[in-house]
Amino acid sequence: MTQVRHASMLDTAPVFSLLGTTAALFEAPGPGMDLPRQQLIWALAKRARTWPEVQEAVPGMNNLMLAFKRPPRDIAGLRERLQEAWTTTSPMTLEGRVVELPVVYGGEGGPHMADVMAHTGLGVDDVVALHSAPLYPVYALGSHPGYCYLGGMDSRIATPRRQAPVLRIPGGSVSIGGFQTGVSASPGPSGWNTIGSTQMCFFDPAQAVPALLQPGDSIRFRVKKVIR
Amino acid sequence: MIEVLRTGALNTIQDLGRHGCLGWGVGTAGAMDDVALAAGNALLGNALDAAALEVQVFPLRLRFLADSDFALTGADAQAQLDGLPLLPWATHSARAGQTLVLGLPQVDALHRSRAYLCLPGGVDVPRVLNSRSTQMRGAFGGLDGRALHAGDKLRPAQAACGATPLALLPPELAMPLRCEGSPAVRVLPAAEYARYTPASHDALWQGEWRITPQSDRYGYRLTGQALQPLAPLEMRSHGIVPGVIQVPPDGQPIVQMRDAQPTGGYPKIGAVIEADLWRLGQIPIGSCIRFIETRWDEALDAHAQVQDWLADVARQLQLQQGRRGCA
Amino acid sequence: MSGSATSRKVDLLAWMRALEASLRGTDIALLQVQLPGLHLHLQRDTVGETVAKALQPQATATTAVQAPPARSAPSQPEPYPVRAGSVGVLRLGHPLHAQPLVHTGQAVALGQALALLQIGAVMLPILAPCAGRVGRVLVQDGQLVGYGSVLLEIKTDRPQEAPDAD
Repeated sequence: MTQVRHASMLDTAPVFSLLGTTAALFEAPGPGMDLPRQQLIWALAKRARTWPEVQEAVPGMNNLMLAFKRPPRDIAGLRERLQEAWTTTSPMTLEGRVVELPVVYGGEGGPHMADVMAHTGLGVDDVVALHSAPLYPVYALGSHPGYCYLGGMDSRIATPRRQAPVLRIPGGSVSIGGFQTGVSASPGPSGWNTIGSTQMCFFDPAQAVPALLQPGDSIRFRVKKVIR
Repeated sequence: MIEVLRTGALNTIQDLGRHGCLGWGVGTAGAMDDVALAAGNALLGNALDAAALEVQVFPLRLRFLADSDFALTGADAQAQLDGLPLLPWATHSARAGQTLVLGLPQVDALHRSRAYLCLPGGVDVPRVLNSRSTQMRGAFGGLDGRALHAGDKLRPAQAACGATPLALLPPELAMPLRCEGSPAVRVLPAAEYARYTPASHDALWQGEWRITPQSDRYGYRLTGQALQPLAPLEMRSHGIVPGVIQVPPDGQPIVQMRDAQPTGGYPKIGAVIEADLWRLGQIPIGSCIRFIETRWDEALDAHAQVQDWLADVARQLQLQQGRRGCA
Repeated sequence: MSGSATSRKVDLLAWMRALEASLRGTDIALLQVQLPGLHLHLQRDTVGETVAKALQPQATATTAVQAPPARSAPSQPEPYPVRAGSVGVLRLGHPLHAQPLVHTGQAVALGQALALLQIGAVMLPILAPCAGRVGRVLVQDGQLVGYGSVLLEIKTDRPQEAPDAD
């Protein structure tokens, strides 16, 4: 299979680092963040999770965390193995499902819509149109149970994270943080700008596979209602 | 069976953590002082990873509704059974109707902040995703995914058997670690370490870091000399684990603890080694800690030392438990 | 550890040599054997050689503690000896606490912790076998004690309730 590499990836080397003795972190060459790099990360994760010292290979946003069963004495050997795997692996295109989420934009469930409008200079209909247009690939899960990191948001509606996080936003909150968007899976604090809400169970611990979505799936936001 | 008469917020059922679920966004949770929890289990002859009650808010009042053995480790909270003082780090037997009170942690030489109440066979709650630890965000595991309330009942997984009265020397005595009078933990530099100023490095290793009141199972917010990067750092969301020392824009580090979310976006200057997380989990709010720079080999040796201590203690306890014979 | 004597005569020296030989491959540093009329103490010295340190007859080498005889007048309670159930280092107080667990004259309840016997990382609480008042404390904190050593005395007013030790 042909290896697809961006020129930018050949400029800088991937970075291997330690997270104490609990895990190792592998950052794909930067800067930026895109789907082809993420597909390489998925492929690397698939290889690494078969290694004897690895308990879990967890993709992040263009990076990979290897959580150890037992920390290996020969850490240099692991680093070499990862670097070698990175240069020889092919991107993994995951054929996932598309999950459609009906969203009520604005109103009580979208308390920060006005802040996004103020920052971007766009009206509410434009914000909603730009937010609901793309098909968002799920890059990785993290942050809290069932939460998906999504790629593909239109940069025109990018809005910086809030100065002071909100202590508790409900589960199902649709938010924008910097150049990313996401949906919270359970109540909790958030520094992102919440523009709408959706009803969906993203995580059920009673299920064998408790998370609704996984890397390779995609989300489409369907406009259920816009509250002005 | 034990009834909770009075409890502060944030006392939860924990075991040695939920592993293998990071890919679903589920962090490990687990006891802040995993060594004390395991030792308490060893005192009762339990599997080391049996579930126990982590007490971090005091006082706690419990009533035994049935005869039961139990063990108390971690902070010496001046425990009393029907008013009689109990030895710390020891097994005890209660009769139905007796009241157990954990008061305030002693400010002694080891000044710890979290106590562990272990029951025969462990606290009987369902396993969720391979663990009995409480996952607060998402509300599952432990006791219905939440902290203890008055009126809750805790059941031991095994019927009480006349446990051999046994006590342990706390691990700090066998494995002390202090730096110029303060409790210390060992740290491995993390990915962004080199991107910080030399003054920041000095502050990290030489400074006294105070644990602010905004510290809990999610993370410890420390205060000290502000850590500054050489240039502003933009990070992509990446996996983190308990022990990671993040540096937010204000330069005051946050050490991620057991309930930390499994991903983060702040720069990381270092990470406390897993072998020292139990020490960190016991340091009270308001105390100061020191960070000691360590290397990979030393960190693994420290990890082995803690595992060996636990195995050794479990073996010595089994010898004593076997002598008296538990029917 | 205690052993039970046989009624026939044994070649004591040969037996001690055999015992010493069997200890060599182990990490046992101290072995005590108590037989009627005999108390044997084997200790590994700093060179690692097992040395038979003492071989002395003892007047009473019983492992069972007899209850004090009943008295018609309750005026003078017999002191009740509390013995170590094992070899170990005697701790009069918990290593984390400054105060000893009990002091002479203190009233104690049945089952109350009087002292601790430390063996490695493990400590065996020495529990009061009866209610009463603490009499003489016969050992020092940090002292190495042997199986059966009398550690302290409990003065009980009710001799008929004094239990057998195990």
